[in-house]
Amino acid sequence: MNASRILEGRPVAEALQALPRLFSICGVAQASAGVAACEDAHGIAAIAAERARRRILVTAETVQEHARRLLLDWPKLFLDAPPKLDELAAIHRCLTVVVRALGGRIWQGEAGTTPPVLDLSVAGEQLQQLDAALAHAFFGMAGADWLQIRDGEALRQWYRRTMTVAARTLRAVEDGFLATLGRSSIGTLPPIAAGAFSAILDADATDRFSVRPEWNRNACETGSLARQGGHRLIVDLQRWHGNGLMTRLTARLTELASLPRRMRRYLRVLQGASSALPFRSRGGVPEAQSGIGIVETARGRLVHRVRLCNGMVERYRIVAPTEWNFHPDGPLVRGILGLPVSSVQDLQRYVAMLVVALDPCVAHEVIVEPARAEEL
Amino acid sequence: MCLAIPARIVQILDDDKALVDVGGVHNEISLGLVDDVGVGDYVIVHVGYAIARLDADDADRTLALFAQMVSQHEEQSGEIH
Repeated sequence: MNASRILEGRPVAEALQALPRLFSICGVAQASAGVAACEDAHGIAAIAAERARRRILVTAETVQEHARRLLLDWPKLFLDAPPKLDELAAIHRCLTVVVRALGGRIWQGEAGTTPPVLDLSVAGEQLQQLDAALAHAFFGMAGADWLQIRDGEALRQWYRRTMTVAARTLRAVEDGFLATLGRSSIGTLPPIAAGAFSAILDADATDRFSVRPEWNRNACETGSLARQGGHRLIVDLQRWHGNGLMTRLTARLTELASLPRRMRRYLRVLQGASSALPFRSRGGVPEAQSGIGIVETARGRLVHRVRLCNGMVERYRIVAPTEWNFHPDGPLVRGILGLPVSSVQDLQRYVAMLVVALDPCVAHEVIVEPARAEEL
Repeated sequence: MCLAIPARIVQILDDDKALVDVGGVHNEISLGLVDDVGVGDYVIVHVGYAIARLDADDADRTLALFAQMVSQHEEQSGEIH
């Protein structure tokens, strides 16, 4: 059963309220995709300022999710060290204020609801605080300066002289000869037109695509590496390590360093907004009351497809990024195949590293079992 | 998919930890990322950490959704994903 089916048969407003409750780990992105899909089905679109407001909220969640992985999982897995709760709390405080200053929630209620009162100056101040918190926790310098690192050798110089968890993790990856761990030939998820996704999901009567998504019959990787593949540092690392551990972890860092600047760009759109109305009509009621919402989340691309009938949700499908990355022939499985196995403990550790590098949205445990005779 | 069932705090432990109840199953979690929570409060748990506090009304509505999902699941074959 696809969990999104619980939304079917409900009024649209009820379904949109339920979304962030059900999928609370990335609830902002889920709400954003759901609202976009329902607006699309209604033939309306959010104005640029409202889109910018939502993008800041989704980006704040992405920063939060990346920070959790880097400060909770990386110390434990790569450094055998306790989590950095104080640093995570400092980042969380900044993001909480930014989100509150921008209305708090993605969906503000049905048409006619009073738009949220925004405090853009508070949001701007907190983004500066966020820069400082990220510099302290990860980069040892301003994120914008860190993004000037152009190649693997400059990165190496940085992680050899810096004492943050991020730098020490990359150092541990190099020292442990783990830079190419999980390397495979799997491609990254390309940009796909909304219409193409819609057609696939509408024809997917058995939910196969929602559970095991493929593009052109190939499993694909989505997430930071797919988005950061054009960054010159990531291009250089891929030359040496392919999509192995060093490249994947560094892609998370290049993305994290770039996110405050992106949030400020969206904030400028909000500051220049003149209309208080959050929506504009695209003209006329669409023939088919179907809509799609596509959002890039911390873990990758999230797609919601909805079909409405008389104000009720008739069909709802979600394709979550974890389904791409943990596909039976996807980046995790392909990365595991061929891993060196010197001991069960090493294998468990390597697989755990690959899982954390791909970051599933659910708790996980790695269990190694000997193959049965008939499987050999 | 990123489902997270609200967990009810049943006991505060040492070292900023707590025992929570999720559908009758008790787990030990860390409270290091949330402030001002006590016995009876609901939290969202992710990989062993409480990451957000829920008010009682929100928790009730969320638990009702999950209960509906379980009964829907029992009526159909397959598994929740």
